[in-house]
Amino acid sequence: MNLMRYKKQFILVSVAAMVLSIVAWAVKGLNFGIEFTGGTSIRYPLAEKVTSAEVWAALDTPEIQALDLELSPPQPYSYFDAESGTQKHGVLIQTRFITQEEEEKILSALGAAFGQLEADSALQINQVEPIIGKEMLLNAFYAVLIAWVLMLIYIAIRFEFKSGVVSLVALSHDVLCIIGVFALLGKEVDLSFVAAALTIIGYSINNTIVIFDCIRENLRLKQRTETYAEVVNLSLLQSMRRCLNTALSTILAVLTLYLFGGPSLRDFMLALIIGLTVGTYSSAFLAAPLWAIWKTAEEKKGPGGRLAVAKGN
Amino acid sequence: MRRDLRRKIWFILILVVAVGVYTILPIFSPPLKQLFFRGNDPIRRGLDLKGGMEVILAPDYRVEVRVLTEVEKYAKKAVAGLGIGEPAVSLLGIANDNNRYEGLALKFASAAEAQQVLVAGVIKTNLTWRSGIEEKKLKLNVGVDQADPTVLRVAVQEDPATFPADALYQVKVIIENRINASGLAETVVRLDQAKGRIEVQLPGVRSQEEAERLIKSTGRLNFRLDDKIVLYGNDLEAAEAGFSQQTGAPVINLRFGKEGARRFEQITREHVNEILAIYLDEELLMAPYIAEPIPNGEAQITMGSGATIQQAKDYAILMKSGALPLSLRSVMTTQVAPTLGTETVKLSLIAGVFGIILVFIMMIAFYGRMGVVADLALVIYTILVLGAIAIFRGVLTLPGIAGLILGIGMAVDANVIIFERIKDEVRLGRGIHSALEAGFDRAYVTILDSNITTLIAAFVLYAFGSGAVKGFAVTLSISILASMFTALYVSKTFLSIWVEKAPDRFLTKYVVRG
Repeated sequence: MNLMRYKKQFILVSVAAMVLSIVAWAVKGLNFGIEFTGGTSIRYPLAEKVTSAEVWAALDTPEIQALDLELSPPQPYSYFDAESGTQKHGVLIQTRFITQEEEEKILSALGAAFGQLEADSALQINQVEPIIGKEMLLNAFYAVLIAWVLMLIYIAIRFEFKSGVVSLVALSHDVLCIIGVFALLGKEVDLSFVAAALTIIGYSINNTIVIFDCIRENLRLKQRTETYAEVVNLSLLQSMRRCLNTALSTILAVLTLYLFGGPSLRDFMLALIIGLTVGTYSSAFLAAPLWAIWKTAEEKKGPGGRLAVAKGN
Repeated sequence: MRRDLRRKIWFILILVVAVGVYTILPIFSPPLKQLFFRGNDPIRRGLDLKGGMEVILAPDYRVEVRVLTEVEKYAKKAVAGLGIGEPAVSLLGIANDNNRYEGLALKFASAAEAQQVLVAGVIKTNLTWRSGIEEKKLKLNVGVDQADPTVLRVAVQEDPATFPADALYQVKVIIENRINASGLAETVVRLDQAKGRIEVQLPGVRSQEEAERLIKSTGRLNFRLDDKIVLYGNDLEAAEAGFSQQTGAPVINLRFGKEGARRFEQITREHVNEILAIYLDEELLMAPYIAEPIPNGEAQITMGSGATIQQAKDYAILMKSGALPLSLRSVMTTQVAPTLGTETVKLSLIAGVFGIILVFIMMIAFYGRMGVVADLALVIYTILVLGAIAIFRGVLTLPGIAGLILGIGMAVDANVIIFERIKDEVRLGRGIHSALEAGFDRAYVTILDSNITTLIAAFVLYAFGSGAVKGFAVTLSISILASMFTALYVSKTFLSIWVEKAPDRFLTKYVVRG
């Protein structure tokens, strides 16, 4: 089987995915959580299911309007509480960074509309100052950048610089794809999203290295007549089983957590599932073909020249 | 059995049993829990799993309204000198719990006027403000408002250089003492010196008021006559609750150090029958009147009628520990309802176990008997990871659980790589003994390279992440190391024993299945 015959198509799929992600990102933007934008989020438990409009109406009092809270549309949510075995409801409200008094006003408005809270309720209030949010976003960005540089150095030492560069291309592809899907679905980008992205970076690089390791080994046995594409093809076929088995078992474990885990785990696990799938693909069908193309191009350009029998004059 | 194999199997057995006894038995046996972990859970759960509050505090260099009114007068005077109409002044930023603002906004008649004031530089960058014994060195920063060019923003801050260099460390110690006195278990107070932040975690705290009582009343203790600060609480040596010898009413006994005692005597002598208000920052705690001059720095405040001894104790704690060298504001509060936490743990645990079982079945389906070896290695991996978390007193958070699952994936991966390598070697026509050795040798390099790159990512996460992300990085690192150990050492030992005992059967099983 010659996988490398389709190398252009493989790369094209990745490029298309990247372009789509960038378009989704540019058009829809990212729904940053308050960890990054700063603000206050209130998870207010409710006895019954409500609609976003009902909560809007409850908060539409002159007193609250006067506060200019920069309210975003309330998001009702429901989850199954394993402890009591019942379905629970609530609503998520996000505002700018507010003071204690402003918070109390919101809570009393909600209390008036939907009944007062019990003492031991699942009320949850998170607050982040805008300055800290910016700092956290920058930190996350630096973390990715530094991790990449260090990994590039390691790969350059253990393999070669070209492998390092194409591995990073594959990683950018993975991260872009998760960002694209989150932008498309309007899912919240928060700190656990960053953790997921970094996990994917770890996993995908792991995958890519295994393939490059196989290539490195086949390269030692490479005949002069063999092309780089053939070496990559052989390596891909050899490591295919391993890649599929590992990806399948990891995705299976994550999938069960996605389906049956708690509601707060959902988005995190979704990011992992997308990332694992995309990461497995990009290691085999983006990084490896790119490497082969680069190596072949270099060989053609290299200090070759034409050597022929000297003709007498 | 070969001697070295026997030694290895004993080592693995002892390790697993020791770790198992240390981490898993205490879950079922309270006496062991008491012995190993002083009654705490072997594996601490993070706030997201347990419920509680996390607050990040930063020094509050902003200033109070009473300071800003002086700055306002100064600014108006400076502007008047230029012959420009008086600007309309409003406060910048929103008041937080300390009732402090970021500065002033000066609105002029036109953008040109604002520009003129800015260019003339009449508003200086350094100011000193005095009132009573208070003295604040202020730093002013003037700039044009980006949204409205007729407005000049004057940011006013206390000069951080006027505070002692180890002020934040002192604050950390004080908050720690206060929280420890409250009797809460497994609290964390961490100081990030580089960023100038203090991170406080209060597991099990259910309400904001409860947390506030412990940490938010972080202001500086000050004594005021007629709303002017006359004495700071820095020199307060002790504040204890007790009962009055005469009336039996709850009282608070205060004792000042040498300097404070001298000052206190002076104040009380000159202001008998006046009210000496006690403030934490801008918040009034008590307002006792001075009954008589107090000479030796030992004062007693008799609580008002109806006060309980508990209230006296609370006030005493606040006064003593309230003597922070600088004011703080909370820049981030995260609150997790305990019900939400436990619900998530239960579901995730069930799902996690389910997922692991699926992986076990898959490994056996793919690799037959060798899959059983891999599964055994996975069980040992799980025990070791839990043990390592318990030993290092790591905290298991939601992302941490994901790190564990990913680690399982890595552990499976390592085994898969090894098995595929051995198969390759067998196909190349090697004998089973040398195929095993060669397979492991070749897999060794692959596993090392791929895991080290992942470890690099984990270390960077640890260095840059905060809170939950840090916990995730720790579990990820632990699980990567454990997966390498189980694959390269445990699996190898098991497979070697098998090959040792029945080389032919191993080979046939293998070739047939593979």
